Amino acid sequence: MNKNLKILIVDDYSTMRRIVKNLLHDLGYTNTTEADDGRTAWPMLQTGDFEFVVTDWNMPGMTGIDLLRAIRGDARLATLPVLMVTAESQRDQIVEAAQAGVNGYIIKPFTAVTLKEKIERIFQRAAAAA
Amino acid sequence: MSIPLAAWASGTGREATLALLAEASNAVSRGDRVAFARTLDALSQWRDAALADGVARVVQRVHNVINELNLDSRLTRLAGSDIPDARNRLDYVVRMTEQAAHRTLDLVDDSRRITDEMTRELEVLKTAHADMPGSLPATVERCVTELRANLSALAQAQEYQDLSGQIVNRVITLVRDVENALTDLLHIAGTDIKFSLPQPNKGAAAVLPGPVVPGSDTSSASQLDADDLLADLGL
Repeated sequence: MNKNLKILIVDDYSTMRRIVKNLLHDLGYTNTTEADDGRTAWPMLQTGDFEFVVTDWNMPGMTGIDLLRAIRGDARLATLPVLMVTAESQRDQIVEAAQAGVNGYIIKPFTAVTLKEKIERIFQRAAAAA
Repeated sequence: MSIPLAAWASGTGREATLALLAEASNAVSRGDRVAFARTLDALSQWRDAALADGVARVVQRVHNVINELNLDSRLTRLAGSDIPDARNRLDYVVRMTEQAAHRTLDLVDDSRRITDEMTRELEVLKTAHADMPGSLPATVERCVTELRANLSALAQAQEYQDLSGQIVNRVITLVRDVENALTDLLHIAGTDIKFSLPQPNKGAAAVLPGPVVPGSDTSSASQLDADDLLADLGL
């Protein structure tokens, strides 16, 4: 797996961004950038050739689900893998995210093992589909 | 067509309604669309007026109760100082835990730098003294690895700040709503009795359930539930 993968971490809580970043670094992914909500993330995605997005759901400005929909609706970004890491744990939310085209869904609080598993699974599926 | 509000509750209100219904029925019989529409409008206005009248009477009752029980001063204190104070305290809790979490993460980052330095020094030592007797380098190496694992766990444990912050922020919003409701109530109890029809809470539908609070939430999914659900959906 390409450890130099360019990852965008989107979360309104700076502590959570740092934690996700730390965990990704532990897994060997050191090429990370941060955004504090969908509205900040969107222009970065437009210009930044990111290869993977880890996003929270509930954020002010633009939520993670809206960001996901914007990504799927954009011709150039449509296939960008998006991993949702959120405290939203209701069935309805999970189904909504799946229908919006999420690639993985992690419920907070989560562990490093879960993060590793989900990222690997996303790339396995991408490789199988290719 | 306008009908006095008070008439609604009385017998004349019922008679007037029946008259309007008969008029509507006649209009249909005659095939007079315009008269039919006009009669329906009158009925609809009547219904709105009845609702407004009901709200006005509830407001009057609230006004009376507040005056009788002398609630004004207690509610004023609650809405004016106690509740804002409670909100400030909760805000403070969120800020404090956030600061503490960042301080911990700073120290974790710095400790990681130290373990990296130890690893580098250890390599130098091993190269320079390849014939070093005993198991010291191996032991130190194992300790550094364990230390790094602990630091990762320490960083991960700061997740609580995000989750507890989200939960406390929800309580802050609730407290603010109560404060606004009390302020409105006090306004109602004032000399000018105003009323308005209740507005639907526009934000309510968009509000997400948020983090699970043990003991309060029953319908949330675990990561395993989520995995199963996503597998069912083909993910």
